[in-house]
Amino acid sequence: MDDLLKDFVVETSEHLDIVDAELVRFERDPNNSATLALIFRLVHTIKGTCGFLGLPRLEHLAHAGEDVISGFRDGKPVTAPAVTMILKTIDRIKGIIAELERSGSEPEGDDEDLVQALRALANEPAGAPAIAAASPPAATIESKGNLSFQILERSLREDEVTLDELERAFRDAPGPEMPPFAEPAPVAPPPPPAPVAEAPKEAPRKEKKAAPKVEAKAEPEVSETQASNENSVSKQSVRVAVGTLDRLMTMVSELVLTRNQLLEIARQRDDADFKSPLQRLSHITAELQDGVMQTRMQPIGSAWTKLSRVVRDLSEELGKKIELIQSGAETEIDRQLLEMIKDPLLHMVRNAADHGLEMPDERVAAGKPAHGTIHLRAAQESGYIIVEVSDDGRGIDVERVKAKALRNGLSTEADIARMSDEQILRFVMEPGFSTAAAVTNISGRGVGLDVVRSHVEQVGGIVDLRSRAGRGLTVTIKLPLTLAIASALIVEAAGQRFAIPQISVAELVRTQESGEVRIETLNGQATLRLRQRLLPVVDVADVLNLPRQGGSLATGNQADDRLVVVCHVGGHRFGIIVDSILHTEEIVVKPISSKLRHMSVYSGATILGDGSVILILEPAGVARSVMENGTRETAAQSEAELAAELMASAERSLLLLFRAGGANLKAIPLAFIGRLEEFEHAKIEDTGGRAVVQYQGRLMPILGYQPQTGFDLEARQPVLVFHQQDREIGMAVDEIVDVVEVSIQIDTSHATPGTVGATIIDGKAVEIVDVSDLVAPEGQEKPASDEQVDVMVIESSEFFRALFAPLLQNAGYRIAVLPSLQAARVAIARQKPSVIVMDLDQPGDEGFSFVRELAEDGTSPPVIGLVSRAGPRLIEKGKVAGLYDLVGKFDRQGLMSSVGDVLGGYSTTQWGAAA
Amino acid sequence: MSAEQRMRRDMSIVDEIQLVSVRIEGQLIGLPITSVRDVFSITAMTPVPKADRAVAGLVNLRGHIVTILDLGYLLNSRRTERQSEQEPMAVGVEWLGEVFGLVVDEIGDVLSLSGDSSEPMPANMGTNWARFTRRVHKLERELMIEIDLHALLETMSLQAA
Repeated sequence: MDDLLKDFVVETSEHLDIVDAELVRFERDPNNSATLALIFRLVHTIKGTCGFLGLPRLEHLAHAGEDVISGFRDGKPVTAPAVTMILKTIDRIKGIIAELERSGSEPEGDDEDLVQALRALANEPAGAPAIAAASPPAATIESKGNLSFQILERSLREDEVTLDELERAFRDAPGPEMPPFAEPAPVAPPPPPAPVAEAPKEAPRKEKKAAPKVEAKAEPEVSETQASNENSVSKQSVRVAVGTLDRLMTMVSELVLTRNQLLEIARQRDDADFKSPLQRLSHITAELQDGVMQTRMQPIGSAWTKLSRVVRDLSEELGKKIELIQSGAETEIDRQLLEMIKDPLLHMVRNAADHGLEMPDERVAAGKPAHGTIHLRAAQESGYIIVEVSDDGRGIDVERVKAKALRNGLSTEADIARMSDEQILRFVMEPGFSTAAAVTNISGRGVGLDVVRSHVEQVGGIVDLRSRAGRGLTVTIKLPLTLAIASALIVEAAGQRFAIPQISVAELVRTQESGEVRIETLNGQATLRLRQRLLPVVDVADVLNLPRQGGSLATGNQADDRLVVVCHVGGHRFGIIVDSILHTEEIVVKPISSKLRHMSVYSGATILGDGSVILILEPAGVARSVMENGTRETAAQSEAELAAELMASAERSLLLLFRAGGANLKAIPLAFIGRLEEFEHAKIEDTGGRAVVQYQGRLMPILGYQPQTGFDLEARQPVLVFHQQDREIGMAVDEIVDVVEVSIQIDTSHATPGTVGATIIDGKAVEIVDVSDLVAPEGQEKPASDEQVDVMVIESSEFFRALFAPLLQNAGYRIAVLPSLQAARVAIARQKPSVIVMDLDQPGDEGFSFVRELAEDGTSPPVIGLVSRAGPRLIEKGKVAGLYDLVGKFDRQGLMSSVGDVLGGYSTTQWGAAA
Repeated sequence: MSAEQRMRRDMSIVDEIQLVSVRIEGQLIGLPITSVRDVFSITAMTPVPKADRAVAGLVNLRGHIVTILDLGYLLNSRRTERQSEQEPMAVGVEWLGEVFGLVVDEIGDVLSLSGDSSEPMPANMGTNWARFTRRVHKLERELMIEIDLHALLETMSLQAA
């Protein structure tokens, strides 16, 4: 393709985009002569250039379009069908241009249908009502006119030079007389009957459909008359190839890196001579970076021009009246980013027009203006670009989303009941949510929103939804200013540095063991309690399987001071635990190798100022890798995790403090509680005197539930959920007070029925509730004393006996519980346990010598030792003595998986599945 | 594979071929010089946690991030143990516009060989060797295995996906 043609294609595409937008405006405001003049000039330029370059098809079309537009200039009423026709012509021209760009020549084809229809419009007498265009007389005139062109064609074709003159004459001439002077069809004239048949087919269909609208449009919306028309063509600008800019940007990125390296060197050395020019270099680099970035910036409005056309077409098609309001169109955005959000934007606007806005009569019935409004808003806020698409339609029905989310198994009822509407709305963006069924169920919203989200997240952006029922939906996109350079937080985990993009960082939190902000475990998962909200937290080192250094504290247990990067991605808030936070740095994002691209936890890599390569973490990917494995991880803890947990299991344990039936504090070791749930009183039913609630698709009995009377049905009942062998059992409490970490010294002498003893926490007596009834299957008898058992528990503390017995029974083992080694010696011979679980916290070395004794015997079962604190030395000692495993006393899962390992038949999966 | 690459490969069978000789776990291996871009020693390498085990890490090679692959692992399916005193060496190869570094134990001369001195791989080699190698060159003192870099890198991406 020669340069001339290339320039033409580029220029024409731009012109066409403008015409698109201007025409839509013009239709709304036909009295604005400035708009009209602009449109006319653009189409005319296209036509002129086409003639010059020898593109007959284009020229022909543009000419026919120009006729109609010039008709408007001469005072013909602007009708919707006429504008539709012109837009259609422009679409055709675009198609040809696209082909031209691809192959360098005009595609074969015939535009006679369009040209005829356009002529029909142009020929129709001024002031005639739109519908008249469809009437047979119009068609006759047209076919007559066509014949006369044939005669004219030959003579004109011979003299191309006079085109400009003709043009002038044509423009000066009054409307109706124009066609005879118009550029004739270069293609062979169609057989005479064709136009007659064609024109009525085309025209009436358009006209009739749009007819009622014409009247509405005929009353000009005066408020819009003042619409600015500053799209002046005369701009001081130079055309530069995009490739050149991209290369410049790459080089500037490299320059920034080198500058960072120099700065790093300067930091280490104290060389004043070196420092001041470096400062200057740094300054200039920053300015250069800004400048080059500027060249890559485009006003977001350039992506919006297409949208006004789309909305117009949609409103025609759907029979809805839609007004598109744009604000902040001048907001500049990186060209590359703009390209990437064009499709999502289109999707969102389409969604809003198609599904969000109601039909006019519905709107009126709802007390809203008949015409719907879609508002596009863009702004630059604190280093990010915010793009918003909002409509004043019906919004999203949260209830339906709920129902759908439950059906799809995306959440449980109890979870959903606690979620805010905003959180529930986000299900709409889950992949697979927008199935065909969803289209009808949630009024079609959410179609492709997962695609929008993935698109936006791909460029490091964030999507948010806000719905006001019956009043509309707002979709907000937050984007980084540019793709190439991002501000990132440099963190360290297990001795390795990583970058976390600032855009997803909400805040940094330091947790303290006994402070307000701490990390607690719920069912083996670490959570962060931050301002009365629980956030899931993940440890980078765990996610990436990084080896820990120097036996630092493991996750899953309360650690002392940890740093948590709270991230906000796609509506999810979660924390990432890191060892230290170093600094923030402008990093140049480099794509990661094709061999690593499948790893969702990384979004790229970068070179830091000191020259080292570090990986950029993708918070969403990090979170996903954890959330997905969440259930699995608890089920089958890896050996490493088990070992880590062993290490961490201190004599201190987590107790859940609560009140139930009285002002006294009560406590249950957190390890025994499956979940904490809240249920509405209204949901708790009475079956045969027992309170039950529907939970995870089954009925769960709730113990200790006091039926609520009166008006407080809205209130929620906190329930502790215990897992039994294959079902859950709930325990109603009045109030969950706290989770505390204490060293338990239980005074069992105060044990009363239902409790195993009491302890002192913060100077207050706390009853430790006996949970054996709760977690042990009902009606299960202990085996007779000489029957063979699976597990023998030797534990001197009554408290722990009460804890372990139900645990193991619950998992389906036959057990024997013995208080002392002496008793055990006798019992082992009789009951032939398959595994012995014994307390090693015995005075002196008695416990270990017992283990050695058993190990030497050879025929004895493996022994799992229980200690309150499993230090490395203790583990070593146990190994030497011949222990099978060493488990912390409060490490429920550790014990279960260890026992499961020995016995083979039962593994922790049972627990895991229930947990 | 691009037509150009295929042609290059076909031609090399009849014509003389230049191979960069490297040593991995004692075995002499030849890499086609047309794909070799660089030879460098690996200084500060950033490991990529959770990545394919054949990925040794990332290094900064004159401002470009290069992914280092463990050639020994790719061929022998086990991680090669190296003495820590010595900085490991890598051969930079280009594949589909991307540069990869292959860790090797030792880098030797560039050898010009003709197709006559070579034979197809014996059948008793391990599966990976059979897949990633093209032929054996019979040198005076020992045998040198010519690696098919394309097969090697392509297979890796399939595994990764």
